Amino acid sequence: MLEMLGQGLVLAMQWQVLLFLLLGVVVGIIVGSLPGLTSTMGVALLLPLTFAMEAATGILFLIGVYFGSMYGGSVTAILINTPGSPAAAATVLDGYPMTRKGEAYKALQISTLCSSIGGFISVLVLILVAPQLAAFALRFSAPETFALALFGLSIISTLSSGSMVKGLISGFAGLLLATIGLDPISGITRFSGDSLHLLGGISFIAVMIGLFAMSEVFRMMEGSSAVRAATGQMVKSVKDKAGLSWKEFKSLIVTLLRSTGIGTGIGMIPGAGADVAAFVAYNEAKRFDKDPESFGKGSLKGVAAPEAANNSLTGGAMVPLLTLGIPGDAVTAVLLGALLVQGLQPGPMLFENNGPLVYTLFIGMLLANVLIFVIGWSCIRLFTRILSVPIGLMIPVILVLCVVGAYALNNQFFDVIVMLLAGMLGYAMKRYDFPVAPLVLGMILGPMMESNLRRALIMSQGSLDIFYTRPVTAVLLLLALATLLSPLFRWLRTRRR
Amino acid sequence: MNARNLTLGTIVVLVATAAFIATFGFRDPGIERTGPAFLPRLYTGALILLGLALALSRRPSTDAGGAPARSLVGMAIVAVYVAALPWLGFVLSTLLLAPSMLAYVGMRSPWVLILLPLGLVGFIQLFFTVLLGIEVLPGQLWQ
Repeated sequence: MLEMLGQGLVLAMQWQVLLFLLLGVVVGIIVGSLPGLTSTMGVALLLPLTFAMEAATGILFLIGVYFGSMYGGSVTAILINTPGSPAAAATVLDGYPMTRKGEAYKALQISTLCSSIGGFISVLVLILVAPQLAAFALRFSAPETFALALFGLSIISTLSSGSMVKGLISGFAGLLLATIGLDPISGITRFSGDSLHLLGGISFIAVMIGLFAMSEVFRMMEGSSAVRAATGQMVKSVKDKAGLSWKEFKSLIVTLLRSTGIGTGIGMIPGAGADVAAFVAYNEAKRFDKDPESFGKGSLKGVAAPEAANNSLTGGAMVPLLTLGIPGDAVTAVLLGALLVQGLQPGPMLFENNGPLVYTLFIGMLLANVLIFVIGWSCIRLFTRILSVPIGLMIPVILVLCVVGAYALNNQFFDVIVMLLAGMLGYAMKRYDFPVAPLVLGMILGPMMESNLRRALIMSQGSLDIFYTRPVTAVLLLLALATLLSPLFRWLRTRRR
Repeated sequence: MNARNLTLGTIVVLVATAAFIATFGFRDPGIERTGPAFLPRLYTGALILLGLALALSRRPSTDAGGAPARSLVGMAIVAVYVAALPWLGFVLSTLLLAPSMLAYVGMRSPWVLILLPLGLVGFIQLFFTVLLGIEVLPGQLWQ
């Protein structure tokens, strides 16, 4: 292994490999920060550019785009309440409140540090124990994935800090919206009427752009004193540049490591993406924290957890891809295509036949995370300058990016209409104190939960035994129950005091 | 009872009831114990109960403040922009919308009114069309 690692290091240090890796990370950060452009889209669109490149150069360019886009989504999520990608939806919850408190600089530092450290550790895990982990990940079947989705959904109870009833309404509305279109098992249409556009369901990314970004544009238009005050505070933060202290970073280490473990683990499970990992990590950070009430109001751990998780997912997602040749999600499926185009067959024999190249990719992945840190850290000052831009100038810019982002999802005008309607809904929800995050979470996890619940019941011929006789399923369901009941426990504890 | 909670809760109950009724129109191929209507009925049932709980809630409801009328006018401008996109296309619609929106939010500098829309359209065209190869919203009248 050490010999191949050395050969990989030599190959990875070639100038053209490094240059394209750097370019990939930069393009990835831009793609990630633009609403509507996902990692998958970025990698898929840039794939043809790599056909003429050397295998290591081309694949590392795409890996740079993949890793960079995971981090890029957090920048706009923190600064303008607009998650650039679904993976950054959980970062908004505390990232934007930090910006409104005048701590944008610190929030971006946390995001950069946790993204790069989380990603780096997950690649180390990939290098050291990939085959063993892949075998474990393959044991995840429909019941386990259903339990994971339900566990993710149980987070709604902790996201509804204001009014539990309103939070649950938001979550169930998201679940209901996710059922529009073709039924995943029988293929019959639901709630779609005669509309061809609705057959494929409603794009949750278009809804997410509308709920978070477009609604913010409408709120900015109010010109209320609250918005002006918040803006003044945000601009102040650009001048203050109060950075992250060593003491604060130390307080984040446990959250960072836990979230990295969650992200890497979820990354290995087929079908569970970075958005799921980020929300689960956020929930666990809140559950283990001594002051869970601070979450949603600008908690440092509320930024650290989702950022470490969504970037560490990248290393985890590579485990089944490289060791078994099984892509766990859409972006790794595109990367599988890139490997095949270069004449490489992922799977157990990849390490035997192309050992030096595989280790070049590993070294490149580690370097990509170092580059995310270097580029991200050196650009924080530049990023925070966005906050100095007058709100009047921001409004048309965000608006146009929302429209283009929604359109670019599927090149469909219908998604722009969905985004606009979601923006209006999001504005009304914020105005009447309904949290929007549970709705997004319901739309993300609803299809995953439904299809796996029904598959599991088909597997067990309708028996519910399948959910408590399989250890991983049972543990995840117990965790979901504990999370759902945690507000009740907190209330009882407060009453006893 | 709180009037705002009553209104919001009633809206939730009405929408959820309509969706619940619609689930009876789903054809069940009978290939599994839980059909395609199982979870939608569960969700709408929960929404009806939660809507009732909200309507009957005595908890004071909050209002974010600000001037919603200004936002409503803004929404109308954005709706006109979105409606114009299929005809005028992205470039022309944006070159018309951005100055209107800037003027609406109080920007008066002619440089800003001219340069920002041009810069924005230029960036989008460069990044999406040239680099990523995505043609952004071509219109019927002007592409």
